[in-house]
Amino acid sequence: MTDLAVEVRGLRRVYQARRGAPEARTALDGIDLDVVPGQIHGLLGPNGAGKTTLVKILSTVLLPTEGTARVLGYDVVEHRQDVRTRIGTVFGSERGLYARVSVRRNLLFWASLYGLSGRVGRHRTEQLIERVGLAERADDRVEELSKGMVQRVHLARGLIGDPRMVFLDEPTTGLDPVAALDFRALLGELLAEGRTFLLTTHDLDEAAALCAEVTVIDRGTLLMTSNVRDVGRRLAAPDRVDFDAEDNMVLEKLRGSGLVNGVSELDKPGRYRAEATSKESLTSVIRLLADEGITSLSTSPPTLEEVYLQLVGDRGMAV
Amino acid sequence: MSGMNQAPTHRFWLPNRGVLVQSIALGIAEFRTFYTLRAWLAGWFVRVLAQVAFFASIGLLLHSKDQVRYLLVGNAVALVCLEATVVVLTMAAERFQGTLELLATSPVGPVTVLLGRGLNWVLTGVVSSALTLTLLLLVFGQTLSVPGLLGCLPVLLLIGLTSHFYGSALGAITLRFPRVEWMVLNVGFMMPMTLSGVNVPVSFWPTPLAALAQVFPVTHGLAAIRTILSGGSMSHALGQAALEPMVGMGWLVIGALLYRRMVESSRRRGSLGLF
Ligand SMILES: Nc1ncnc2c1ncn2[C@@H]1O[C@H](COP(=O)(O)OP(=O)(O)OP(=O)(O)O)[C@@H](O)[C@H]1O
Ligand SMILES: [Mg+2]
Repeated sequence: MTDLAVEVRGLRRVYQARRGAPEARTALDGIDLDVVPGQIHGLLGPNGAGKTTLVKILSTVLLPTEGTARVLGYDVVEHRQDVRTRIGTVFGSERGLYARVSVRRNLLFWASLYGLSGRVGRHRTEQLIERVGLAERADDRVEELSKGMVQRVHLARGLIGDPRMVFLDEPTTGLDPVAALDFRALLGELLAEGRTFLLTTHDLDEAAALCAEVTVIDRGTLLMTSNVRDVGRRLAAPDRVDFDAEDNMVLEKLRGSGLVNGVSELDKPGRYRAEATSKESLTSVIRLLADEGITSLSTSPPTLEEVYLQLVGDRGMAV
Repeated sequence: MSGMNQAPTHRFWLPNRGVLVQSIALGIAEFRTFYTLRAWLAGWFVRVLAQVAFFASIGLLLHSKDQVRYLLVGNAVALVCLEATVVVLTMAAERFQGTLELLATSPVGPVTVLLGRGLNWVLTGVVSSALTLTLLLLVFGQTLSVPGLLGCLPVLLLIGLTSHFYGSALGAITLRFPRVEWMVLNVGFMMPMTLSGVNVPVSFWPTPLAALAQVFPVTHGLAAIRTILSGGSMSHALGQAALEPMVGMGWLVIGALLYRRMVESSRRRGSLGLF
C-alpha cells in the first residue's frame, strides 16, 4: 500500500464513437500522476487537455479504458465504494445542485447521502453554511444566488462528507477577484486541516499561489509535474535579464553580441528583457550592460506562466 | 468539521432512512416552488377531476349506475399511479441538472437513491385519488361510507408506492436512453391504465394479457378498493391488497438492477453527466 493520496499509472481514457460523436476520442493517453497528501496539487492544461476526464475517473464518475488509478490507496475501479466514502468532488458549473430549493435544503439532502442525518446532518449543514460565508443566504433558492455564491454552495456540498481528498474542477472560474481570493483563503484553511486537493484551473497565478505542485497535461499526455517553487528551473530556456535603457545603441550591441536569443521591450517603456543563450552567457550579458553604465537590472527565473506557455505552445484558441 | 468521519458502508438493498426523509423534504420543497395550494387546486386538481368525471360520464351514457361507479372508482384510483410514475421525469431532470452523477457516485446504495427520487409524488397522488374519489362519488350520487373511504387510504398508498417503484424502473431505462422520457412515461402509464381493471375488468382481456396485468401496479390494489367500497369481505380485500406490494417489490428489484446496470454502462461510455 502506498502513502500517496492519488497514484495514477498509465491511465488512458477513450470516448467511443456514438451517435452525435462520430469519432472516438482519446482524452487521456497514458497519464502518470502522484499527489502527495496534505497539499494542493494543480492540474493545468488548455481546453480539452483531459483535466475533467482525469478528475471524473478519480471521482469514480468515469471508468478508465486502461491503466490504474488509486485514491487514498483504493483502486477507483475495484474499490470504488471505499473511494466514494472518502472523497468530495466539486465540478465548477451551474449544474449539480437542486436550483429551485434553498441552500440549506440542498446541503441537508447531500449530508444524508453521506450518512449524516437528523441532528448530525443539521449540525454539519449549519457549520458548512457558516464556513463558506452563506449564513445570510441559506434560505435563498440556489437559482437566486450569484455565481460566486453558487460556487461556495458547490464547495460546501463537496465537503459535506468531511472528505480527506477533494477534487476541484475549476472552482474559481467566473468568480470576481475578491471572491476568488476568499475562495483561496478558504482552501488554505481546509488544507491546514489535513485534506488533500487536486485542483484544475486555467488561472496560473492561482496555481502558483495555492499549489505545492503542478502537473501540466495537454492532449491527454503529461508534459510536466513540478514543485511550484522550482518550476522555473524545469524550463530548458535560458535565464533572462531585465534592464532599463535610454538609447538603442545598447540594444544593438546586445543583439550583435551573440550572447542573447533576443531582446524585447516590456510593458514599461524603456524597459527591456534580454534572453541569454545560456547560464554562462548570462554573466557576460550582465557585464556588458554594466559596462554600458546600466545598473537597473534584475534577473529572474521564468514564471509558471512562461513555463506553461512554452510547454503548451502558443496555440491560441486552437484545440 | 473536526475528525474525518467515515460514511456508512454501502448496502445495495438496504434503504437508508435518513436519505428517504431528506428526499421527501427535498421533493416537497421542489413541489412547492411550482405549486401553491391554490395553484394545485385550480390547476392540477381541477384537471384530474374533469378527467375522472369524463370517464364516469360514459357510464351515464350507458344508463348504468354500476358502470358510472366502475369507471369512476377505476379512474380515480388510477390517478395515484399517474402521479407516482412522474418519477420518470424526476429522474430525467436529475440527469439534466447534473445531480445524477453526484447521486450515482455518492456512498449510498442504488435502492436508496431510487426509492428517494420523487417520493413526494406518491403523497400528492394519494391526496388526488382520495379527494377525487370522495367528491365524485358524491357528485354522481353514489353510495359511500366513511369507513370504506378510510379503508381505501392505505391501499392507495400501496398502489402509489408500487407505481413509484414501477416508475423508477422505467426511469432507470431513461438514464441510458435519455430524451425518450415522455414516451416511456406515457407508454408506461398506459399499461396499467389499459390492463389493470380501470375501465374494463381484467377478465375482459385474453388470458395472456390478463396474466400480464397481474404484474402491473394498480391491478390488485384497485380490486381491493372495489371490494372495500362495495362492502365486500375484509379478508378478501386484504388478500387482494397484499398482492400489490409484492408487485411493487418486484419492480423495485428490477429497477435497482436496471439502475445499477445503466449507471455502470454510462460510466463506461462517459455519458453519466450528459443529457
Ligand atoms: N462525455 C464525453 N464524450 C465524448 N468526448 C468527450 C466527453 N467528455 C470529454 N470529451 C473529450 O475529451 C477531451 C478532453 O476533455 P476534458 O473535458 O477532459 O478536457 P479539459 O481539460 O477538462 O478541458 P477544459 O479546460 O475545456 O475544461 C476533449 O476532446 C473532449 O471533447
Ligand atoms: Mg474541464
